[in-house]
This record gives sequence, C-alpha cells and structure tokens, in this order.
Amino acid sequence: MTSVKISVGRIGLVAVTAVLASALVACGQSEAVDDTGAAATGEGSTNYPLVLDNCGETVTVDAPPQRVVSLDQGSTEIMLSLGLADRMVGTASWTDPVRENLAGANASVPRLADNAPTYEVVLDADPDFVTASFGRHFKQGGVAERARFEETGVASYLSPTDCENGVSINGGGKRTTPLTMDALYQEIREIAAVFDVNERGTKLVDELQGREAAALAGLEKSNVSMAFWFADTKSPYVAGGLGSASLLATTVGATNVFSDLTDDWPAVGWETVVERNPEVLVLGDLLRNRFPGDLLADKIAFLESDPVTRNLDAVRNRRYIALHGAEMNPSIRAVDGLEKVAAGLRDLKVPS
Amino acid sequence: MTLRADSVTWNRGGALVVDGVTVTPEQGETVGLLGPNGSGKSSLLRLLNGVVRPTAGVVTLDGDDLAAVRRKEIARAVAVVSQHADTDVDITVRDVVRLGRIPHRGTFGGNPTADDAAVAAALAHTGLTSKADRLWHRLSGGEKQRVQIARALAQEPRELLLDEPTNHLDIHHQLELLALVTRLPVTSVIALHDLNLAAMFCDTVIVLKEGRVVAGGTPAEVLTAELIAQVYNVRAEVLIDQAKGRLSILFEPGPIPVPTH
Amino acid sequence: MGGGILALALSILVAVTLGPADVSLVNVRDVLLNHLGLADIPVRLSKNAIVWEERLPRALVAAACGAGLGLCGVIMQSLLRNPLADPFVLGISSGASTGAVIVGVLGVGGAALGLSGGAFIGSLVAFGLVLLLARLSGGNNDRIILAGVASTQLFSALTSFFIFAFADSDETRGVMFWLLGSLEGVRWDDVTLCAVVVFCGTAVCLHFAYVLDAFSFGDDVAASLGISVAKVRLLLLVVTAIITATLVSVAGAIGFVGLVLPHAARFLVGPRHSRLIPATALMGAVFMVWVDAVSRVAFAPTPLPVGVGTALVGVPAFIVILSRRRRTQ
Repeated sequence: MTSVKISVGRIGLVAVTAVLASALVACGQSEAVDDTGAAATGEGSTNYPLVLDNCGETVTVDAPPQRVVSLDQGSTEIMLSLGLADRMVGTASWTDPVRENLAGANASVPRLADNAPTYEVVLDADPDFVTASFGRHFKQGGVAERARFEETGVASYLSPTDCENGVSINGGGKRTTPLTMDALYQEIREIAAVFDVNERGTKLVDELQGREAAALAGLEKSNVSMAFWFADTKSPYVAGGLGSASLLATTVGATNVFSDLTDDWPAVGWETVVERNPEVLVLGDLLRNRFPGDLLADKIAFLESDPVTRNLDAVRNRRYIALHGAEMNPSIRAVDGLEKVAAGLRDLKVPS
Repeated sequence: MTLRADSVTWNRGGALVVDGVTVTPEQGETVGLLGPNGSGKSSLLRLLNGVVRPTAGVVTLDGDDLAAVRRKEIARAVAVVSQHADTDVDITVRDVVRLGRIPHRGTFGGNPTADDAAVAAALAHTGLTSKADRLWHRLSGGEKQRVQIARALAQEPRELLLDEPTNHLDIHHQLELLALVTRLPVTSVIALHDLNLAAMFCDTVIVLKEGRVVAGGTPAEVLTAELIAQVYNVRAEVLIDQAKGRLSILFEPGPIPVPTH
Repeated sequence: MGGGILALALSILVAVTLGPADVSLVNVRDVLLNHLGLADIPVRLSKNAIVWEERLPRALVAAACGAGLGLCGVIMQSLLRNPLADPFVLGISSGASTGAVIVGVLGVGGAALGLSGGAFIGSLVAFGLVLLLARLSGGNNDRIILAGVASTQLFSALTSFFIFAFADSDETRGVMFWLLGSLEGVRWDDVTLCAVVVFCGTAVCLHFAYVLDAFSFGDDVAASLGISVAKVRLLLLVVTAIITATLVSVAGAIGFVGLVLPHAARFLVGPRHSRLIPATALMGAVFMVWVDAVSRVAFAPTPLPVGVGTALVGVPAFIVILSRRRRTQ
C-alpha cells in the first residue's frame, strides 16, 4: 500500500476557498431582537416581585412569566388546568396521553420532546420560566442545572412533591416522610401565584379536594392489602411506602405491603411479592408500551401464566385495579387514581 | 578505543548464561562468536551492548564501565544488528537508515547536514542508494538485513555487533553481507552458526560452550576437528588450503566416536 | 499544517450553527464579536446562551477530544507496536466508568467530587493496576496489553455490578449515556482543562517524536539507538493516561477515535511521527467536531451519544483498514 501524501498546498487552497465562502455567508444582517410581546394580563392578585422558597432554592419572579417550558407531564397538566396554555411554549417528558379534558389546550402547545429534551432544545423555545415535576432534569446529566438556567435569566420551579428538606428526591435525595396531597395542592397554589391566576388556583384545589372527598365517601377503612406494580416483568418496580402511589393506598384506608421500603419505586423479586401476598394488585397500564409488561393486558397475561405468580390469591381471584402511569405520579392525575382505587375496592368487595 | 568484556558473568533467572567470558577485540578486527544454541552468544552480545548488566565482571567502552555510560553515548559508539528486526510500519529504506542518526541528536534535534551525509554514506556502503525510497515490506530478506546494516552504519559507530545476521539469507546474500561487514572500517563482533563463514571472514574467533569460552584465536588455530567435536558434537574434517590461506570444514554425518573429554 | 488549522477553525464555526435550535452563521458572528469585545450587537439571550455557552464549548471540547484521543492512539500503536491498540487498552475508560458510577450511584464523594472527579480517579486507579500487573509479569508489550485487558474486564464488571445492584432506572440511564461518550453539558472550564492538557500532551509527544520512530523495530533496536526504553515507555504511558483520563472524565469514553484516526493520518502523511502526530491531532479534532455536530442533529430532539456517532463512522473505517492490511500481508 502506498501512502497518499496530499500536498499541503492543495489543503491550503481548499481551506482558503472555504474561508471566502463562509465570509460571504456570514456577511448578513444581524437578527433583530424583539423584546416585548403582548403581556397577558393577570388577575392582579399577586404581589410582585414574588419570592418562593422552592426546594432549597429561592425563586424570584418579577412579573408573570409569558413563555414557560414544562419539563414534565405533571407540571404541564397543572398549568393547562389553570388555563395557562397561552403562556406555555413547550412541554416534554410525556408518560401518558394528555388528560382528555386538556387535549384541546395542549394541542396549541409545542411538544419539545417525548422524553427529556436537551438544554439547547429548551433554550430554542426562548423560555422565561421552566418547571419540572422531577428533579433529575435539574441535575448534571439532566437538562441543565437550575443555576445554568438562571444564567440566561430563566427562573426554574420544581414541584414540592419531589422535595424533602430542600433536596430533590428524584434528583438524588431520599424520602423519609410520606408524601401527602398537600404537596400537590401547594404546587398548584404556588404556580397560580407565579402566574397571577390565584383564583383559578383556588378553584382547582377546591375541585380536586371535592373529588377526593367524594371518592372516599362511604368507603370503610378496609385494611385490604395491596401492591402497586408499575413496570418490568423480570424485576417488578413496586411502590414503596412514602410515594404518591402508596398515598393512594393509605388514603383509601388500605395498606401497601411494601410500605417498609423507602424508595419511591424499588425493584423487587417476584418471590417477595408472593411472600407478602397482597390481596389486591394495582397494575400500571403504561401506554408508552416500550418494555415487556408495560400494557395492562400484558401484565395480566404474565401474572396468570408465570408459575411463581399465578398462584397468588389476587391473581387467582383476578383482583386487579388498573391505573394509568400518570395516575401513580404525584400530579392532578393522582386524584383520578384515587377515584379508580376507591371504585375498584368497592367493586372487588374483598373479604377481609 | 574499544569495547572489552572482562570476565563477565550473567545470571538470568538463576541460570548461568554467561560465565566468566573475556572478549578483547582489536581495533578494526572482525571477531566471530561461535558456539551451539544456548551457549550464550546472544547474551554476550547484549552484555557488550549494555542492554543487560553483568552480574560479575565488567564491560568497558574506552576504559569506562559501560554501566556508567549514558545509553546515548553507547549508541554513538556501538551499533547492533539483530537476527530479524521487522516492523509493520510502512517505512521507507531511507527512513530506516535515518533512525541510525537518533543517537546523534542534540537537545533540539539533529544536524540535518551531518544526518543527510551519514545516511547517504551508509546507503552507498551497502549498495542501497537506488533503493532508498522503497518500502520496507517490499524488500527481500537479504535486502532487509542490508538496510539494518546501513542503519547501523548511519550511527557512525566504532563497534558493530551482529547477532546471526545471515540466518535467513541465501548463500549469495550471506557471502555478500559478510564481505560488506568485514570491509567496513569498524570493529565487528559477529555471532555465527556457520563455521565455514566464520573461517572465511573472521580475523579471530571465540568459541563458547555453556556460557564459557572454550577457545579463542585465529580460525586456523581454533577450528580443529577435536574442538568441533567437543563443542558441537559432530564429526568434521578441517582442510587448509595453504595457497589461499583458507580454511574449509567438511562435516561428516554419523555418530561421533567415543568422546574424548 | 496551516491548512489543517484553518480547516479546524472553519469546522468549528460551521458546526456551531448545526443543531436542533436555529442558529445561523450571522448569529455566530454576532455572538463571537460581542464576546471578543469587538461589538455590541443585540442578540437574544437564549441564542447567545446556545452559541456561547453550549455549542461553542462543545465544539472546542470535541476538538480537544479528537486531537487528544487521536494522539494517544498514535502513541499506543507505536509504543505497543500494535495497530489495533487505542488509548483504552490501558483500562482507563473502564476505570473511569467505575469511578463515575461510584460517585453517581453510590453517592461516594458527592457534589464535591462530581462524576468527572470520580471518573478521573477511577481512570488512574485502573491505569496503576495495569502498570502493576504489567510489571509483575515482565513489562513487555504483550504483557501490557494483557494487563490492560484484565484491568478493563475487572472494572467493567465492577461498573455493571454497581449499576445493577444500586442504580435506579434514571441513574442507570444517566450513567450509560456518559459511558458511551457524551458532550452534553460541557462548559468553558471543561474547555480550558481539555485544551491545556491536550496542548501540553501534544507538545511533549512532539518532543518525543523521534523516540516513537525508534520503537518501529522493537525495544532492542530502540535500546541500541540510545533510548532508555523502560523510562521512556513509562513516561509516554503516563502522558497518555493523563490525557485520556482527563478527556474521559469530561466527555465519557468516546471510542474508535484513538483507533482509527492514526491509521487515517498515517495514510495521508506517512509514518514519521514528527508529521504523524500533528496530522492525527488535527484530523482527530476536525473529525470529532463534525461527528458531534451530526450527533446533535441526527435524532433531534433526542441527543445521540457522541460515542455512538464515532462508532457508526469508525466501524466501517476500521473494516476498511483491516481489509487493506490483509491485502498487503
């Protein structure tokens, strides 16, 4: 093999031509920067600057944001429910199809990514505010750290449902106290305050609390034991004792057999499930359908055919309650989840 | 002004590879190093080069203990050609020879004029000037050995150490190579297998057996039938052509008569 | 050489315009002029951030990685006399992964150390192990490679163990992305670090270019040419380890660059190291800048790990190299 020695002269010629070409292209007009868009008027009930203590960071909002990017579905659905679609410029991290009543509003908001977007993609939407339900987006390796967003003048907000003592759970912290619905209501109120739609916020919280009470009406404290299976047929991810799924159990007066585990979604072995023998299985129906066992039908098929699981009481008696993925997350869909779990228990009439 | 080994001994992994050997070549001499496999020829050459240190005895260059001399200084005086140096690199003959100039580099690089002159001279000596731009892997075995010799010459050494340089060559190239080496104005120490070649080209020979010197002197003095039988365990007849002053060794197959040692 | 540097500068400028967000050469020009203090053109904050805080540092780190890994590839291949050697034969990338996983998943060291710090320490531990194993078993080239294989296997197993035993799915995804090589999130201090290390490393290697030439025919010939083989080999391995460890701890294990670029450069400028070293560095830099730009765009908005991009280009290139070698054998 003979070596091809390309003369430096030829490379130089090509390079010079390229320089000239780019110089021509770069000789254009600078892009105009239009600073003010029509600001949507708020209710006038928030006092700006608004200062929030948000998961260990102080968030200062000088005026209601006009261009918000929501990095998670939970946060998205709260803002859509508050009627803020006209101020949303991007959404991301969708685990389920949007809640039906919000589909119309959602259609007008660009979806930046089905999963986590890159920093660049978020910036491209030119946001002035960024929200998230899960702290992993604000970690190194996620979208960008909150300080980095701050550098470009973009304030950030993390859902209180992911916070304990100023540390994000999903971002690496550990939960030591159980999550309550109060954290969700706090999120709704704080977002409403930021956007100066406090009345709408109060209305939404009242509505959700009303639905909560209605779901629990007449439901006896049953002490039924249940386990929540999110995904994965090999090492099932189940709900630990402190997270939003477990909250559903405790709210309806049932017990979560895995309440001793402190991670929000630990992976366990099927043997452990058999050993703890939950009377009811709450199954995640994950429409993302990315892994074996995501869909409800696949979960049931697995449970009824696998030699280890098919002899479970819950399986033999087909005591299943199906929830969407989003309903097991700490979001407004959790109330949907609560309604389904309560209804499920009523239907199943589990013998104590 | 030369390389000397004084009673050097070398122990490797507990085995005595070289045992009390003394080598004192004369300036410009061609010394043949003979002996069966495992007799310590290669090891002795490595001791002479300073690549390994003797466990006893001393190797000196110009009277200085080799162990105390910097590798670069040694390389300016002593050049080595081994049996079978090869490379996968697509290097040209000229660049191989140019490697020989490395010992002469100063802190900030070599002297291009001196380097070019030395390379040209080395190529001329070895008859490779026309092949200077050929690629290494296109050369024949004989040519490759010649290139290695040219590289060694480019080092402008006073001593040349060659470890069985003719092993993979045909008879034409064997003779050609050794003629070249003996022609060179350097002191050469050549490890050889072929006794006839040694007889033809060496001024003196040293015979090793099991790490020890068994005999040393001119080929005529050393290469006798008895010695050959003793060292190599073969039958031989030594013929001396008085007219040409040349020694020829004829080997006879078959078992040796009762050993006389 | 001048042409190469110009090509690199141009590549960087053009690459900075590529990506899911819409950035033109005019934007780039404006942002650069502003930051160089030569102008005060109004540019949207987000666009400025994209160009100056994200894409430009990325392109520069990509260039540094390409140059540094290519350079280390040259050293490894010449030193170990093995055309299939690359900077990761010393176990550095697996050590880095283990270090990063220990910090990221087990939480040892935490914020103070960071993934990069953990990776750097892990690399050096793995490298130390390789040196130790190689020394214990003789120290020649084959031993070094075998020691590297052993170290790589050990640390890969450790990484896998930690991930499976301790990581949740988010952490796993985060670490995996990093293991494949990722330039997401590189900032200006990463640029400074990489640039300094690569420049110094290249300077040192250029100084020893003639030594690498001397190794063409093996240790013995090199020794006979006056090279202190053991010392120089150790020095070059340490330089390689430091460069590689630094680059891996910033950008993860980007494969194929160190393997393929030296061959490509050798094809263009020949094997003499005084030319091969700068050629490989420049070609590696340009190569990585483009691969990174394409990785940004190919599956937008999902970022493709840059290590996947280098593999996609590197594997076919590698096959070409192998078949070419077969023909000349």
